[in-house]
Amino acid sequence: MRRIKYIIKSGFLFFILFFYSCLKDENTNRIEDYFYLRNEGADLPVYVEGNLSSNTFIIILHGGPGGNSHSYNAGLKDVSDRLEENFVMVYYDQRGAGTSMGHYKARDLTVEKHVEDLNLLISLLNDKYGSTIKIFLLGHSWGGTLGTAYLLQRNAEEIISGWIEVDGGHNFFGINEIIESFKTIGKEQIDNSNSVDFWEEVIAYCEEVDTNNVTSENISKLNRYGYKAENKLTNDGVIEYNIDSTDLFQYLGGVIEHYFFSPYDPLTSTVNLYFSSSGFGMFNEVKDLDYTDKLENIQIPTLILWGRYDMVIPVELGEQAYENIGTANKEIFIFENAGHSPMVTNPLEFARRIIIFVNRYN
Amino acid sequence: MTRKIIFFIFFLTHCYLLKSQLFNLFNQKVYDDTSSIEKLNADLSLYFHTGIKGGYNFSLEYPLNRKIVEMPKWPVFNLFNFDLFGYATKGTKVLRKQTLIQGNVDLYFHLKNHTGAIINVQLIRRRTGPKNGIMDFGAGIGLLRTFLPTTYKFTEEGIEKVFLPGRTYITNHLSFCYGKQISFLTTKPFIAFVRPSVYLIYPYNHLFNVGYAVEWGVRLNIIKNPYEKN
Repeated sequence: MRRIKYIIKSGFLFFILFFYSCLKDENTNRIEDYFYLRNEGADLPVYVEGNLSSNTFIIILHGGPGGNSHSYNAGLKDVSDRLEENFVMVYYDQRGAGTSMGHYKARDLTVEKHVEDLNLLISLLNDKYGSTIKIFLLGHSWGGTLGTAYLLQRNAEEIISGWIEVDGGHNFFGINEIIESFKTIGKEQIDNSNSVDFWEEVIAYCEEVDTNNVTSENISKLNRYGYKAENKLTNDGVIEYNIDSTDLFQYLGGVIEHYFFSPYDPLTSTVNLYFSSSGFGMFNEVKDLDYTDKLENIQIPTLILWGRYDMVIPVELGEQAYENIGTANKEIFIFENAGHSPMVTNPLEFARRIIIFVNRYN
Repeated sequence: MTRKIIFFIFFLTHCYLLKSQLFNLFNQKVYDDTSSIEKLNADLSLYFHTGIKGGYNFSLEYPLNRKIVEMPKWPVFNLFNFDLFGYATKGTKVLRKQTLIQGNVDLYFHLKNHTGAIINVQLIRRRTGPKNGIMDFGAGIGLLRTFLPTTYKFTEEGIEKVFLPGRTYITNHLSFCYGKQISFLTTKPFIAFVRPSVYLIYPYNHLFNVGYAVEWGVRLNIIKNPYEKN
């Protein structure tokens, strides 16, 4: 009997959280549209949601390669709801990622094709919603690499109004910076007696890596160490979650909506992540990508957001991007107690920074 | 010491199970099933693609091979019964074993993403227990057709909407089913079942994808057994 009561209570809480997550302010200008874009054998799902009267569109370039856009929508409601109140957010799954589907050859899974897809998406948005709309790009992690590649190949300043790079990689596997970051932060953590065994192991591995002859195995292992390191830093209280208690319901409701009532498909996305994009398709091309010398060609307003304890793409790369990007209208903000995903640990500040930046250059 | 005791208990249990299975194997009797239970079954079920994306399933199945197996119930340990390797039985039990061919039509709706239709054929090996519990394993091949919402493509003349957007993929799947006959009329079985399955979809993107589904449904007989005419 007690078990039945427990199940009923849990079910009740589940639905309360879900309905709470569905509550949105009445806004007659709100748009919720979804469609597919087909290019070279790939069918990419596109979700357009937000305040149409703003006439400002922000395209999310998700991480990976092989991540998914839904994690930035229902999976991150305390950010996405705030941005959608102010702008129109465009979430799309890149080829071979998320819930995108289709049938194409392995040779079509390249950075060039990703850039081509993005270019067509922008043309489609201009065609559907008018050529007067303002378009911003927001790239996280691998999305930062993709955004940089797009901005370097096109007449970006004519099409794109602003670029927001979040822990992105113009030098996707900046191996020297990653090793230096592990050594510096590792020594700092050992001095503070935090996860000493782990950091000693990582530092010892970094000493072994021959930076003049970096192998794929080195890159993969350092990448795995990066995510493990962030878990350790979180457990040791270095990376902190600054989520307002009033947003807790919104956050939990968003998580339920993300897994049960959104287009997100965990299995398809995971298989895509490990087999379609990162695993076989893109790794060899992406591991050698380095746009550092070309960053001066980016001439549009740029906001760089980074976590101080990003162990996957270190903050030194963010500072390098800030120094090298060619425009005078550039800003950098570093979240002091955040890792690779400051939008998860600091959602309010993250959304606020973006809203201020986009309104300034809108 | 605790480990040794656990190992000893495990060893005894293992010996018991192995011996009883061997005992059953050598003492079972197999007959052809010519009963009046109807052969052609129809299933109607709720179909949950990746566990949560809802849909429906309709299937028809027909037995290729039906056997009735009569075997002793699992033996009870009895030190004084030397004729049965130290085990004595408590009567017999009757199982029905069938090999079936099943055709499925699945329809599922992926929220704000696409609609999918799967047509597949599978071979099933089914065991019906003495208390009408049903367990089966199946493997099959089929086609998945996706139906996408409005889809745009770029041509030399500009942007066009794709006519009937979607793609066809091949699927291979494995399934397991557990059910229970809940009808009291043995000649008109009405069975409730749950069937989880996993499937491989290809060619998907540049390689493949995998999916899983859970079906909750009921099975009815729709055509009478030809044996009944005799």
